[in-house]
Amino acid sequence: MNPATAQLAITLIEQLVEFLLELKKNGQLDEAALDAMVAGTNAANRETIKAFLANAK
Amino acid sequence: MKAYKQWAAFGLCLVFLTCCGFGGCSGSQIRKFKVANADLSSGLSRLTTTTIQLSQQGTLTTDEAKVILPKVSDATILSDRMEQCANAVSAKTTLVGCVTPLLKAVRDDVDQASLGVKSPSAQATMASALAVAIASIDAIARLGAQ
Repeated sequence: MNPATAQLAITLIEQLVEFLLELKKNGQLDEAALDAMVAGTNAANRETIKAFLANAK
Repeated sequence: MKAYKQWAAFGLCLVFLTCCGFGGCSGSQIRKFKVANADLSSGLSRLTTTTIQLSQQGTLTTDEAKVILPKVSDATILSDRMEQCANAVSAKTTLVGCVTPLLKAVRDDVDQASLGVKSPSAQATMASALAVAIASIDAIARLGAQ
């Protein structure tokens, strides 16, 4: 993974996590939204890892 | 560390055996569990970003990242399954049976990921990120005591 792509992936994940934690802190997530955010965060995490490992030399 | 892991395994079993009382899990308890799992998901994501950043900086070798990241990826699958447990069950025994082995497995994955960090300069940063993930796992384990 080139540095620019890696930085983009990191930024996206960090924003997703911040969004999730902020919503959670404010009690704004109902259970369905919580499920969706966790599933999305986990999936984004896995895809980033997959992309990194595929390009790791 | 070994004694801590043994204590943690014992604690997880004990806590989940008392989880939700005899009347099954309430909606509030299920929600608390889901919120704690969201923290775990966030912690695992930060573990990934920390690992990639250290690798990009050259602080962590590619080989070390290749040991750590698959374990983190496995842990995210377990986090998904824990979420599915919370949606699928309402009875105490079912939640115990569903979540406890997953929680043990995710903790093992995070512990094994930590074994992949050999670079002294990377150890402190990785230890911090790993501690966040471990804390999330322990928070889930403690829910049963509330």
